[in-house]
Amino acid sequence: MISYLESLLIFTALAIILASSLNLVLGYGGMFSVAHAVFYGVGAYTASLLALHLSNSLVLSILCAIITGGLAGLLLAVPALRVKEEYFVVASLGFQIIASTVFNQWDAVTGGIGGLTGIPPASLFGYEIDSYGAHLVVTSLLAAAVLAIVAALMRSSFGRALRALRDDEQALSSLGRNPTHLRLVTVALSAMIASVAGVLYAYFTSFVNPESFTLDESVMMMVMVIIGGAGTVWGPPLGAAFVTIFPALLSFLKLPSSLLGPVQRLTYGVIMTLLMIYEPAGIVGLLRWVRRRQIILNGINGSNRAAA
Amino acid sequence: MELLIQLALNGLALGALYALMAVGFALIFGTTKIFHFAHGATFVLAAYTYYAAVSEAGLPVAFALGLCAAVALGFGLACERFVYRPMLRSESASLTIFVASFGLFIAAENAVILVFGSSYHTLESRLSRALQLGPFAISPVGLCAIVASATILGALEFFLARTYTGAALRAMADNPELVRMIGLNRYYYAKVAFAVGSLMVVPAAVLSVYLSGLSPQSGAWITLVAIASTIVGGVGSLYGAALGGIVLGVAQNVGIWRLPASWGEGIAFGVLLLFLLFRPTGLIHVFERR
Amino acid sequence: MTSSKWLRSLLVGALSVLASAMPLTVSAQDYSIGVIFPLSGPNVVYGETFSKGVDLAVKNLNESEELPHRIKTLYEDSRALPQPAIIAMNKLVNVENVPFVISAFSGVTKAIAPIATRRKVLVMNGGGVSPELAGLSPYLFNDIPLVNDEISALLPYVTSKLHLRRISLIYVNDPFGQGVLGVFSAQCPKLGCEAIPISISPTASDFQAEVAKIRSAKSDAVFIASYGQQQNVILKQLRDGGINAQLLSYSGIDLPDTLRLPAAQGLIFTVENVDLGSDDPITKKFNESFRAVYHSEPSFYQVNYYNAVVLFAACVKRLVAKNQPVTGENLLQALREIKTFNVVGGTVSFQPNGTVRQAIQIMKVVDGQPQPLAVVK
Repeated sequence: MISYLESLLIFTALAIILASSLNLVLGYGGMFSVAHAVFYGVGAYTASLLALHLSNSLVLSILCAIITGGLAGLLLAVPALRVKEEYFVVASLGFQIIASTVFNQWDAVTGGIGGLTGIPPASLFGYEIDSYGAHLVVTSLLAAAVLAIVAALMRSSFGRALRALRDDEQALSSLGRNPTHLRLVTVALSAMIASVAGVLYAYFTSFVNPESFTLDESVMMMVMVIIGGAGTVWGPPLGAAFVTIFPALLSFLKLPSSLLGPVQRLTYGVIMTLLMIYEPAGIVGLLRWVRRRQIILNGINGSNRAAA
Repeated sequence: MELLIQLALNGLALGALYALMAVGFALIFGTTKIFHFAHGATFVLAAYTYYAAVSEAGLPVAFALGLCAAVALGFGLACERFVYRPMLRSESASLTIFVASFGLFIAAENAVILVFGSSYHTLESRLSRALQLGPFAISPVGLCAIVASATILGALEFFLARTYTGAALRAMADNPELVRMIGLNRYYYAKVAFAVGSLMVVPAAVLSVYLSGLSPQSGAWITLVAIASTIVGGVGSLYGAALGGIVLGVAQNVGIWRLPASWGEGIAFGVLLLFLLFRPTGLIHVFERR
Repeated sequence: MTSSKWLRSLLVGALSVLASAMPLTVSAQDYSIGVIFPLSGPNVVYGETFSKGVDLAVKNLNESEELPHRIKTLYEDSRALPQPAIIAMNKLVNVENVPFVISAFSGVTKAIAPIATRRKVLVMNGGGVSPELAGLSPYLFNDIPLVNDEISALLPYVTSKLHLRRISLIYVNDPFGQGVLGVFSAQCPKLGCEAIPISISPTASDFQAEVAKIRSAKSDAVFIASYGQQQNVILKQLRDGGINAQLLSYSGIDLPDTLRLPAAQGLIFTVENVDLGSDDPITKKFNESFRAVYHSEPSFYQVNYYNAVVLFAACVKRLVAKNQPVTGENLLQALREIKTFNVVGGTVSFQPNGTVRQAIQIMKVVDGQPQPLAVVK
């Protein structure tokens, strides 16, 4: 029971890192990427190969994954510079499919569908991160750090410039920023953060193969950001928590396991469509709406009382 | 060399199906500017309706075809009426509409999995057995795909060029403002575009049940192909979309001449990325420029 | 209610639902064993076939009361893919603390083997046949002959008796298929045959390009190294594509629905040779109860998985006699000490690399039924 909750929380924390990093590109940058699982995968493969052949140091793995993830991010940034909106969506889809093909076919490096097995536990300052508890602590701390970084970044001039890029590219030049440069940095930064999640995932499961980094996974990350509320600091983590914990709630219905996945995805699809029609700001938008209504209601109550 | 020609033949049959999907998508996207990602859901729903009608309910083929067309038409029109129209009225951003469409796609795909399971289904038919043409082989279903695709595209061309409704659709694609100014009802023409586009899915769906078999996941692939063909061909041109479909079908097959077939998808999308990067206006404009 | 209160009540509600959704804790008295089978997806037919063997063995053992406590099976769905299998294995080992896991499929078994080694859990595989599974972990045992044994039996037969020289090999690009490819590349040169490898993805369902390649290769035979529904699709598309070469395959194709396909007629394949005619009490009990419960004839897969539970019970009996707790480590110790087990079809003993050696039977499909052609020791 405890380990079950621990592993659920670890996956939630991973999802929070992924959703928050995707939010930089998708929510703030307005570049609708459906290829985020690629960077997650690059980070995971980097850490696994390092751990199997060189060193299982967590710090070293994260540093290396940031480099490889950032480079992969630059690859996606190339189309981001040339095409916009729906065309970029399609470019990122293409990027995801090509990356999946490479993960599957480059047996010598990725082990193909059989994957890389027997990844040893990570070590951090001489301690071995082996138990679920230790994984949970490390993953949660990193998730919190990512949230703090995203929040700080969005309050900085970088964040303002990024939002300007999304809403009105003309206005951006008046801020004295180069849109090309800004797009490159955002996509690369987002990819770096996602690859850190990949490192944690590889050490936690001690196994990686292409199935964890498919188009489906990218779509789930997009679902997290959209359902939570794109372009807000708290939306994507909320969405991530919802998408990871919802299946556990569904198991309450005692459905056969073969139906769980489809029921879950069917629900996400319907929620996404309804949200887009009625409240494109996601859960955060709904919460804001509830709060606004509260304030108005409190205001009315207050004025009634004053009148009485 | 024989192998190369055989692969090109296979690619042509596959490309003909892609072309039908692509032209339907391009027609909807061109006239309404709606990025109808759920077009692939129409495909999956139509294909499974046909499969269930023929194989599980044992209905005659003609009746199954009618049912399949009704489902495709119903789903396309429902998307337009209940999802896109309210969003267009409230002037949602185009990406918001895209996400809604994506949500519809995910929901429909998983509804199909809930009913039929996630594994493959195929239908047996004498028509799927290959005919030998000298050293080459092509199945009658593949030939049907090529013929059906050519006929339907011809009919569409006639509709767009010679009828009043067709002319209005072309006007909407070229200049939506003008259409509004001369007082045409753009929601009516959007409905027509969705009806025609969704109906074009039917032959592609039915033939692919025989040609390559059916799985709920095939919807995602076919949507990507339809979108990619539209872009490779050149947005705004239906010929371009058809040509794009054929190019992708052939590239996917010929590309694996010396490689394992699992590279096919990667190669098809490599072609797409190259176009996006270097010829974002598509094939058609390459020719026009000459 | 303010929004923060609202959020809090939502969280509390969610957690309480979560808590009640937890699997009911099994009685500490039960022997829990994990089972990782495909319970959904295109390979679900194997999961259904295999679990009949496991369930029957558990039922018979619990009714016989040979063990002081009941055996309880905890099923997890692998979809025959490594990644869901890893999640399932982590859950079984870390949450349910099972000492013994029954697995199937090469990719799945290969993926969970390192966890078995690290967490000291005994894994018994009765379905995966990749040669890579030999000696993969001291905790992994395969009570099924691996596919190298099958191919070593098949290839001399088809080259000398049937004079097939050029063999196209359609193989799934996963640990199982790569294992088959390895055996072909090692054996073909010695036997004077030539293998033309064609790899496919485990999720592919359109094989027209492969058919075109096979046609242009002008081979005498086509060996199909795939599994589940994909086999049926390959068979159908090979026939539709007008390929008339002799079709060959291995034990994974031995599913009644597959062998009944028109495209499967004349197919030659191999299976392990199980002697169900033997009259020892275990085999007799298996034959009788299988027919009584399922009203059909058992397949060798069901024998293997029945035996997986029988092996577990034998080890537990020894531990009970020695008054030791049933842990993965102790089970391994017991398995090494017992050496030779009485199981359905006779006796079985494991080689040092955790595999069994058994005679192989070569079969041909005639009118939808497998007919024996030869037995290779």
